[in-house]
Amino acid sequence: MIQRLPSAYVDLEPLAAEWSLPTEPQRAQRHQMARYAELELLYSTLLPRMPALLDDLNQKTFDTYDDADRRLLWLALSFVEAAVAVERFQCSDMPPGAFEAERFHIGEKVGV
Amino acid sequence: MGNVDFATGAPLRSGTVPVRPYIDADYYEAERKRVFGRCWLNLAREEELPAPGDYLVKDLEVLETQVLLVRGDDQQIRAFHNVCLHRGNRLARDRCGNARGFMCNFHGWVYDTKGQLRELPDEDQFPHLDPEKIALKSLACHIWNGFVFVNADPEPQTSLAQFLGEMNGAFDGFPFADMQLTAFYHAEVNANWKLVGDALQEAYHAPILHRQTVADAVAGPDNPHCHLASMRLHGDHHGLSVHGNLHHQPTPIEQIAFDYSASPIYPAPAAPSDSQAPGVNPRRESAWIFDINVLFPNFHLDPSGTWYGTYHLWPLAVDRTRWEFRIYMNPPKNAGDMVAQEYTKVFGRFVQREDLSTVEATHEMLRSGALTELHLSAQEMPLLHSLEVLESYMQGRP
Repeated sequence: MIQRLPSAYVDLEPLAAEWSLPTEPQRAQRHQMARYAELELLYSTLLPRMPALLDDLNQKTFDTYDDADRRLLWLALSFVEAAVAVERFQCSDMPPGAFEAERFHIGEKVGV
Repeated sequence: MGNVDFATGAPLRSGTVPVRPYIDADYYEAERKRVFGRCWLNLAREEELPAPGDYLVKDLEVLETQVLLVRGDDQQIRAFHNVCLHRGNRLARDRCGNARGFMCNFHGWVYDTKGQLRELPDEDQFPHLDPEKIALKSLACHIWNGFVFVNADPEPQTSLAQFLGEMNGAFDGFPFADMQLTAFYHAEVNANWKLVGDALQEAYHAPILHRQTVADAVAGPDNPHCHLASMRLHGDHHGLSVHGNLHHQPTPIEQIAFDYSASPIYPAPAAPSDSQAPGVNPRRESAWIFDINVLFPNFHLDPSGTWYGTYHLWPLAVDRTRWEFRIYMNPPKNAGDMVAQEYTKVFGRFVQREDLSTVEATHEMLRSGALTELHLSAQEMPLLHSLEVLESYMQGRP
């Protein structure tokens, strides 16, 4: 089997398969498509792992990342999407009345 | 803060403003010419055009034109109406790129990056023309702190420096050029451009509209109504410093972001320093998050200590606006820093969607005609000031 996340994080592979996405527009779109239970799962699974995860990745500079490191970073960035939804709104997007996500455009040319 | 304008010492003013400028089609038509046709407008950062030949095409719907910004071989950035002088065809067809010149796709007239006509096919058939005297229609173009401004008035009434006035030196030393575009968000909003801008130049709304997001970071027991840390009027423009709650309790993701960021990020309090640009948090308040600077008419420049944001409110019609928001930050140093910046971006997106949530309904209700005036508190004086400046342009001030 090809190792797709660094070895200490292989148990996160099912989440990475869904959430390791390279750009902010892709992560935001995945967030918009998600059921709330998916966001809760991503949030509750990653939250206790984040300090060690970031400490590990911080050992490397970006130019020495391999594919597994990148996938782990992208998963951590998707965790942020889930965290805001869970901590602030307790729903998959925002309460009714917010400016609609579909009309709120995220620039394509910036990001990781 | 004290109830005074920090720039002049004058008392802050509350008052009423008329509804008509927000909804009246005739007013909007006059605004297009008298305000947007005469004021300096920010279109870009100079880092977007790093090399000779780099160009950008910018829509300026409010003036019914398209602007071609291009850096010449002499490194100067120039602005032209994106139109061929021959028969009026659109010249540059791509939105951006690098070119030695621009060839019109209709009959092949070619202009160089300084706008001068370089090739005139079948020149003999234009005996009335001297090709050396043909150049693209330019707009005045000047750069301030790396921000590229244009003025569509064929004879601008002021230089950019005169237009900026006391704002001119306020950001000296701010490291704009060290920061990079980290996020760009945009939306078409069904509301007057001033309603959109007004929602972004006061903090009175924060405890209510942002109760699920940023309220606790900017208000809190010491400042329950989120009074500004300071406010100052500078001619046509003004600056506000937004209070930060030093006792804010971060959420779990916020704590991670604050712990791992290389420098303070939104919505963390930003520590002011003496080396900071003089116009950024000029009172050096410690309970501070960021500033809002409204450069009349439609450009907001919002710096913190270690990041800045910009808003552009581009009118499309009396009741439609293209809202653009950009965040600039230092290049992330490592994964932790990048995750922290991502928190600013994602959290910021939701705060923005709250900010935009009221303006369309507001426009609809104002259009009903039920109200003829609106009531502004002293904390909302920036809105009053913006409308007073607007009205002075509408009255045709020299």
